Amino acid sequence: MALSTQSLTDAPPDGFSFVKESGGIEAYELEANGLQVLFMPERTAPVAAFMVTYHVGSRNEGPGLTGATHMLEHLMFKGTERFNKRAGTSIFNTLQQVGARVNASTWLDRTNYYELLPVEHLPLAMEVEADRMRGALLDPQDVASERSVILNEFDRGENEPIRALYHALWATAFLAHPYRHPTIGWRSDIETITPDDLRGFYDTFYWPNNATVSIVGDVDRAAVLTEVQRHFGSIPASPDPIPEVTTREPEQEGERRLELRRPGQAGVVLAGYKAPDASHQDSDALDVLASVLAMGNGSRLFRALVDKGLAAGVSAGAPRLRNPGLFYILALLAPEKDGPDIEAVLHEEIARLQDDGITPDELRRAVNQLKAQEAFGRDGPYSIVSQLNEAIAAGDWTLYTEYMDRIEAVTPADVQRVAQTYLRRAGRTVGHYIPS
Amino acid sequence: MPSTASSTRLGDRVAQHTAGPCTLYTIQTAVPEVISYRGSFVTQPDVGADEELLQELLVRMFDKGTQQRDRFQIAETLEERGAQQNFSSEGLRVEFYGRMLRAHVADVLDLLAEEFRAPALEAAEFEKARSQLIASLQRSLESTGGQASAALSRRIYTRAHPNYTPPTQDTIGRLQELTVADVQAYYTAHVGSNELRLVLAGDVDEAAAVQAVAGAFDGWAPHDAPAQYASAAEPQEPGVTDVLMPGKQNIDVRMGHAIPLKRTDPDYVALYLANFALGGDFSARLMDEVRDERGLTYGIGSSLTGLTAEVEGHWQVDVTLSADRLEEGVAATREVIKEFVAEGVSAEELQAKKETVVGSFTVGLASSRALANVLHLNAVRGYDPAYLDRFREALAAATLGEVNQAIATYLDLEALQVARAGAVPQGDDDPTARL
Repeated sequence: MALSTQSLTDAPPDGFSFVKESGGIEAYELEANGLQVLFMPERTAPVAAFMVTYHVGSRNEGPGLTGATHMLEHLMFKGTERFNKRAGTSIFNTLQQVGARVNASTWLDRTNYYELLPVEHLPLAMEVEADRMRGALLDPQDVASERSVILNEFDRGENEPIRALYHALWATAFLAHPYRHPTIGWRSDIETITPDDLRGFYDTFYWPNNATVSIVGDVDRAAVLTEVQRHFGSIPASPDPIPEVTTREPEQEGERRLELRRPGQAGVVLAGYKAPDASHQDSDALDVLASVLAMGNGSRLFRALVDKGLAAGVSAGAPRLRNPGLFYILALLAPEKDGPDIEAVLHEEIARLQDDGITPDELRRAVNQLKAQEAFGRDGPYSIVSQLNEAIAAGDWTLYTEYMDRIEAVTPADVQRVAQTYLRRAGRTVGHYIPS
Repeated sequence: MPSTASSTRLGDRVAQHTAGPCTLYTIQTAVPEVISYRGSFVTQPDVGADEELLQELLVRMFDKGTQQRDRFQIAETLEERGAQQNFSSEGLRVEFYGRMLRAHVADVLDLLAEEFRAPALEAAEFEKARSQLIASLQRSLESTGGQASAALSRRIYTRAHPNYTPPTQDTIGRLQELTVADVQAYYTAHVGSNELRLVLAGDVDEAAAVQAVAGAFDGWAPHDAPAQYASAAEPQEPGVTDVLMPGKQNIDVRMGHAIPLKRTDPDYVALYLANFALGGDFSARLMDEVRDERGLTYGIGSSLTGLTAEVEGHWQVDVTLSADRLEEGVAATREVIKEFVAEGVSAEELQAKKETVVGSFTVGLASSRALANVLHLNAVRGYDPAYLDRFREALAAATLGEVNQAIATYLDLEALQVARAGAVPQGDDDPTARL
């Protein structure tokens, strides 16, 4: 494929509707089935990233089916009639043989499959992804084999105290919303999900009208869209509407606390505060707040905890999610320090910020760091699609392209206000990992 | 700016400069404003005398104050510019890496030079650095993977070899004995411009970069510390080391043995391809059989580890197994290795692996950060940038006979050392004790 010489005034190929352009990314819809297509030319190297993001994650799982989205992601690599190991055409082998980096991931709001590969092989990635969109084998024997693989993955995760504390925090902070269960699922569900369960999940959610494909690379728009249509155009839209998640988390009306006690030596404090969804304008001020609190050695919590020798490290952030989630603060304790002491300092620093706000210098420094991060995030096609993926999952891909405009509009007063609004005692959940 | 996608030969795109005491490599890519950097200088710690530990402390103190700026002024310099700065102790050298915006190259390089040439190394910061390092080591005691790899290293190397990792508790004990004066003395004797190399990749203004590097590092003198390390492995008799970690139901298993090769040995190319066929990616034999076919593990692979221009390394197979699959998983892994060593690779398999490796070369360099990392590693190995193209050509040219000869020469099932970390069954309960 050649470098793009087209402009947006050129009509898209037949069969596509132009939706919008933002930040160098063009959005189209494949009219035949509702598939969303995002395209961005990027010339760092003669490679392209291709990603299919399905709008299904662990938030779509009910009791007994936790982990189904993730298990299905594994099964998707067992292939189709056309691409499978028994035929000598396994998905990994087919793609890796041309030098592709191939993988997938599942999280709360999405499942994504991606290939980063030499640009001349982009059609092959589309062919594979289109084929498994509706043609996955989901063989019961494969389900049995992959179940034990996932149980080992589960055990690996449980080995890590911080991950276990993180899961426990979300399970405590959320009572009703499915964000309360870990994406990998509860062990008993992983052990008992049936092939029919997975088939049902697949037939409910894996349709073109529930997916967005992203193409970023050294490619021509017309050629790319033609290839998308060739491979995905004949797949029908879902026969039934894609189910919505209707559960809303009730307002938290008091602090919740938990302890995780395990053999070990170094403690951890993890605090989560109920935070708004990704599209809410307060999410931008919360990003700035996280930066002021914990990004860099000059940040407030670094000074108060790490520089004073109380903690070995500190971080803060608010993952952008489709539904309201958590703003978190994580402190890794220094040797022989007590979690309650560290937690007290953390609360003091938050109270100080709520009372006094932040300075213009702090705001400028936080914004400069976020601006640089945004620029760094455009370093190569894979980095771009990775960030785009999270914005797609949150429900609006322009959250990625318009991010810096939104961040630059944040004022010191906004940061103080969101600190007062969201970092409240009644909305917080605090977890301590206590090594024993 | 020329299209960065126009040349497929990496060496043609890299410019090499002498800037003061630094060998500087620059490569332009199309990423706007962003520059990734990676560099290093040789320190020559006395490995057998645990000087790497002093180096670990030293790198944690570089950004905690210089003779001109305190730690918060350093933080402010970086945060105002959104620049990233990281330091790591990598055996015989100190590495530094990060990203910055094009407008800030001179500022970031000036700061780096100041941190290396005039660090404050104050007692209060030493105490914090030590405390943080101890915390990091304590956390590593909860990593089954890290503990298993470290235990394997102790079966293969002696303490004087850079690839040897001491028991974590020993390291924590040794840390308690060190003083800030030890770090200051180490700095004086071991930090200078020796083999100072830097790669800048991205939206680089070449002339400005040369000027900035020369301005920052000009006049930095080298040290005269001699090399003090063992370069060859001294393995124990084949056997098993268990690191017992109660409650860790995932057990990390490492198997491996010494390889009497340095990275610069001509046999490396064939052995690289051989190892890739065994455990280099999702399609390799170990993943294909032990995970995909038998469902025994989430993660399995193999690697050539610790082979550098200076020292010999080892071959290592990594597998993670839930406790109830330990016996079956280890047996399956050994079966795959046994068949691989006995029969070698087929012509068709080798051709497929070559295509994968050569194709992935392009993909693996699709960001300025990846380019900086790869070019720096290549330079540390003593190669010119064009070697990366020659290496790719050598991989493509390797014959079936060469690859299978490398397997027969260097891989030995009977020489495998084993290390296991986690809730490993012991005594009569251990079904794998016969290993």
